[in-house]
Amino acid sequence: MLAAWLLGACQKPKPAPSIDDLSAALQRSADQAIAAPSLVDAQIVVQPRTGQLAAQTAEIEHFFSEAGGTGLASVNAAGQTSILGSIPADNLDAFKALLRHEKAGLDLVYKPPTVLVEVLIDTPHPSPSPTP
Amino acid sequence: MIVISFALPEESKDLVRKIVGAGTSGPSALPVITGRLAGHDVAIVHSGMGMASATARLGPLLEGISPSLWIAAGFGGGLVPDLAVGDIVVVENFSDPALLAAVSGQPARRGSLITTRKVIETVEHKKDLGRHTGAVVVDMETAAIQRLCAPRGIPMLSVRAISDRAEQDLPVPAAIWFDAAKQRPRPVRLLLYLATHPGRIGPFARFVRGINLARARLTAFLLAVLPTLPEK
Repeated sequence: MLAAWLLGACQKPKPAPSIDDLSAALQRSADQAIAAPSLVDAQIVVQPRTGQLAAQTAEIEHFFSEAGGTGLASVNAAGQTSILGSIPADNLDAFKALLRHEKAGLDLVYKPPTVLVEVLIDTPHPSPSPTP
Repeated sequence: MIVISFALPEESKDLVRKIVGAGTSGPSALPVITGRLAGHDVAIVHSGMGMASATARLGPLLEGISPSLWIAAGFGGGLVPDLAVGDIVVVENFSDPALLAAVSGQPARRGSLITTRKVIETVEHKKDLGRHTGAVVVDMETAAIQRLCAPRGIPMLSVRAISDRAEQDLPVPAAIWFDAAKQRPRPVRLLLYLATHPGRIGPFARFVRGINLARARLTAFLLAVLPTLPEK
């Protein structure tokens, strides 16, 4: 147990994936999904800016509109906000733009002829205090 | 006191007629009605449509009152095909377990609810949302009400009457018939829309009939469960 702890302590923390890494991973997921339509889970969580949950949610919804689709934000009983969005399947550049725009994680599901995207916004505190 | 919240007076008006000694305060569009109902002191409050309105409207109300329980009621959109217009859904994932047990004898569907920030208007969106979240009904206020009740320890019962089925597009876009900023219907724009989209008149008439049925059944359900609900 001590050895495992020492081994863990000596490991360097994993660097956060770059936007290009995320974009490449998303492209691979989309390619796979298009080749064999099925659910593909590639979920990364977005940490909202303090007190900006509603504004950020609206911003992401607006992005989907700009990408030619729609975004539907919903809140579950645990207070978690997610945005289920669809954009045209041939508009994968819009995905990349979303990643760059929000540095966001995506839960990707392919459903011809659209791509469903879920942006999960992590809300550790269901009622974030307003920005001073 | 029991608080019963609805988004709009269109959802509550049958229940309001049953109140004994009713007194009204607040803005005419979203009034607060207090009185006696089924042996309880009650306040019927209106949140307006949407989470932002519910938070802004109901938050200040809670500064002045300490309800023993809160019934979050109103219309909801069906997300699964086996829910018909007028069906009552007792929402399991937003309701207090003791209150769920108290209403278990009433005929109603049990299921999960999801709150969205926009009106879900198309069959495609309803199906996506239902499949992805596992919810059977969608509304626009319950999550905001829960955020107000939970920190204050107010037990909540969430009940929705189905106003539109999963396999039914809404006949008129919400932005046409409702002014979200003023929380009021837009009758002139609605009439203009129907005049220029005559194919929507039939579906709209059926939708309105469904609303009336949903309201009547929701009222009957609430009148049946109120005597069974324990107050702290």
